[in-house]
Amino acid sequence: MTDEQLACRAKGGDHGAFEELVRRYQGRLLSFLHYRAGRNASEDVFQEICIKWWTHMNSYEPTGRFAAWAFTIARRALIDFSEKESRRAFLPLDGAADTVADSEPGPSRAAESTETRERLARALLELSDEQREVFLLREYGGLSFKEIAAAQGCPLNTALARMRYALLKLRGSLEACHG
Amino acid sequence: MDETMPHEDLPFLYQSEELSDASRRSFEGHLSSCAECRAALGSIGWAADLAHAAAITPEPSLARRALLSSLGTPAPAWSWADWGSSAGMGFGLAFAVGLFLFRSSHPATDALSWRSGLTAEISELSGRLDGLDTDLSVEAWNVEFNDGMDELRRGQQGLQRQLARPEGV
Repeated sequence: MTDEQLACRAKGGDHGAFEELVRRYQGRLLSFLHYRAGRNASEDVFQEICIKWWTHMNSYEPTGRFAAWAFTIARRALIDFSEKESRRAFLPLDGAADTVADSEPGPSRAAESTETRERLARALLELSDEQREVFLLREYGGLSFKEIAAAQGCPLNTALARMRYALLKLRGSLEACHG
Repeated sequence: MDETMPHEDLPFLYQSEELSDASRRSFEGHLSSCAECRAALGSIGWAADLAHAAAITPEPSLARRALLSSLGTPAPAWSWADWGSSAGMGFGLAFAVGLFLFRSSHPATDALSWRSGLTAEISELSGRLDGLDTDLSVEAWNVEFNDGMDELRRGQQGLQRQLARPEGV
């Protein structure tokens, strides 16, 4: 069953369909939040977003892609959260690079992916907010560039340019890191 | 190829499958002669691999907690408009059932018989209420209360007289 079919069922109040959607999207959503807001914030916002998905299901239009709808809500929830937290000196990505190391202790493969996460988190810090968001919406949200442009309220060319610069900077900083 | 898009954006739109069929075919033909576009596609693939390798694996309890919180909140499909139309349907149904039961208890042998019967019942009830109203009037209650008080006073006086009489008389 497609995400859109599940979303239609969830819209009609089907708990099982909604659970399946959360299971399908949890990894992508958590990755997006983790690199956007930091590990600690991501777990709090994750729950808030799931509640928003459920309570706003009736605003989902079956003609649209569920991913675009879901990540547009996630993005707005994150902005609201950041605004609230900014009164408490919240910084975007605060702690993302520092706390990721203890998220998965264990064998060498886990250590390798932990190192990759740390490197990505640090490299993302060098991007502007908009560039970082385009990268994360594309790679974890799976949104098209048209959907990203709509979410950010900018022209398609701008969203594409942000992605282009994001990749240039990420590649530059990660290759410099490797030597 | 899509002439409206800058050359450097085409690899991104190609990878995200946002080019029209004609533009996609044209871009694929163009790739063999453009090292820049091939390098851009390589870079896009590298970014996707990096993001995949750095994806965060959620703890099982995270989704469970989120589901408990979200499914514990009111159901999504109930907007005010839905509630209004459902309530309207409910009231309509209740009215129809009530009317049906009322008509069943007043068989329509004569189309107006139930109505004249109802008028008679109302007149009778009205008469009984008038009588009840008279019986329960404030004046009637006052008369009864004063009679009771007079009797109580007489009893009190008799008791006082007996107590005032000297012993042995």
